[in-house]
Amino acid sequence: MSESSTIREPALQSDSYVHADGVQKIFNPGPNQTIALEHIDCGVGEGEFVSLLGPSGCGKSTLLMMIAGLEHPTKGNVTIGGQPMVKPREDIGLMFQDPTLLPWKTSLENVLFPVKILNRDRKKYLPIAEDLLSRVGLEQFLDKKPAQLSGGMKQRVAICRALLYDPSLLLMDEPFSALDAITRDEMNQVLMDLWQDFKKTGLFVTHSIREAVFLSDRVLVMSARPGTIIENLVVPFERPRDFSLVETPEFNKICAHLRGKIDAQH
Amino acid sequence: MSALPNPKHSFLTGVRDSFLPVLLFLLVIGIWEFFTWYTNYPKSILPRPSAVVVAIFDNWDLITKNILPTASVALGGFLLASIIGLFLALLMTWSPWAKDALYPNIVGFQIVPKIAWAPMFVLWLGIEFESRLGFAVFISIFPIIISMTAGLKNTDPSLLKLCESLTASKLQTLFLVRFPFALPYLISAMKMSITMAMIGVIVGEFITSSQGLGFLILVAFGQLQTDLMIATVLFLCFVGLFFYSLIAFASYRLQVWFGNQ
Repeated sequence: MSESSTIREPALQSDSYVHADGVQKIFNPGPNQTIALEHIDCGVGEGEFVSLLGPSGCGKSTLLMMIAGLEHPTKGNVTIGGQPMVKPREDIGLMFQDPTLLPWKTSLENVLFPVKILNRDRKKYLPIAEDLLSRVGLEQFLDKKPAQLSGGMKQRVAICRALLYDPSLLLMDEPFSALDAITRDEMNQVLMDLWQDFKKTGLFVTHSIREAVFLSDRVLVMSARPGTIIENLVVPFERPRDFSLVETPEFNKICAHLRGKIDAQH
Repeated sequence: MSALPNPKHSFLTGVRDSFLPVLLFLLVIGIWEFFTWYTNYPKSILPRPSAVVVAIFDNWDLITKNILPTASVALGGFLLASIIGLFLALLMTWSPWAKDALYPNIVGFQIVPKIAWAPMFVLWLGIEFESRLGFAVFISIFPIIISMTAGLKNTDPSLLKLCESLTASKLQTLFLVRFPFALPYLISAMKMSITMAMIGVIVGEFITSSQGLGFLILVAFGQLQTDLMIATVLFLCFVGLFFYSLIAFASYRLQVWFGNQ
């Protein structure tokens, strides 16, 4: 895989499902203001899995939170499916760095937590929750509480919770960065396999180049503060992928290219 | 993959943990007994521990009939303080207005030596149990409010974001997430609060009362029956320990609920 065969595309796609247009975010406007994001134009197509890759503090999580409707841009706007994003929507699944499970609830009840918040029909979602948990290999752990689960297992529960409503968009904010390297690889594979079955639109924030390349259809590289998008790279590998991919020279060439882009910032 | 069990305690650590405090206690009692016997110390000032035990048996009916008036008012005050304190903490978490208005006043009040207010309660609520109950509530409510407000505020910010992203209402977040997360704070505040409630009732009984363990201490004091005074204090300890162990049990149940046991 030569450098030229990685197709460059304009970051702004007119047909994209998620769409950020001229987004700027300033914290504490005034003399001590922090410009977190500047001139962000990007899109995620329907069914596409995109990673936002960048150094710590580049504002990638802020961008994700704006897409989730939990933060508001200072300038510009975010649309999802053509609708401007002004407040959180039910059809978006969210994952954080921490599993954010309720310690007094079992795995199954944690997955069903959104049902309780949104007063939906529990009977309808119970089999869905059980199915999701068994897909990620937790069928033996339905009635265990988070304290009895390992870090990787807790994040699996969190994925299932995010997928319960069959969301049209899954937003993930460094979901595996608190895990050890081996568990992290395992979780990448779990997510990859789920993606194969569900074909969602996904936006994944990470500072791991390898993780971004392995999981994504496309990687957006962000610069350090103020965050702007400095690279838009299509990952050419066929799906389904498995972990033997990361040993191939092509894979490592792409990683090296992205590494160069990030390092050029310093 | 599941959490590891606690490392096994060796037999020696077990012996040390359970016997060392008992040993020290017995040693102090022994020295006390020996010292008062050897010096023939005036028993109206410092009676021998054995004399205290004798006083317990001699005054068994007198002491035991005075337990209930003290214990029931303390427990009632504690429960009222817990309920009102909890309500205020929830209110201040739910409404920033309520918090801005109330919280500085509550913290300010907390600094005042609350014991000093005890005679006022007698003036306001009379010489019966109501004044003692009122004072017990007053003195034991502060730990509940302050600790619970902190607990309700300290919820994991990511979890609050999750609730927000699920379009949870403020009340749902408060009762389904913030409140259960703050329960450990409530339990540890209760441990402080029950002790304060006991203090409140005793002080109330010191000021004006015709029954209760605090009253009995004053009676024994008036008659220089120091052995009975110490015996009564001992029973106050038992009552306090009993309440404390109830809360410790609740704490244990909570740990089980949180999956930590």
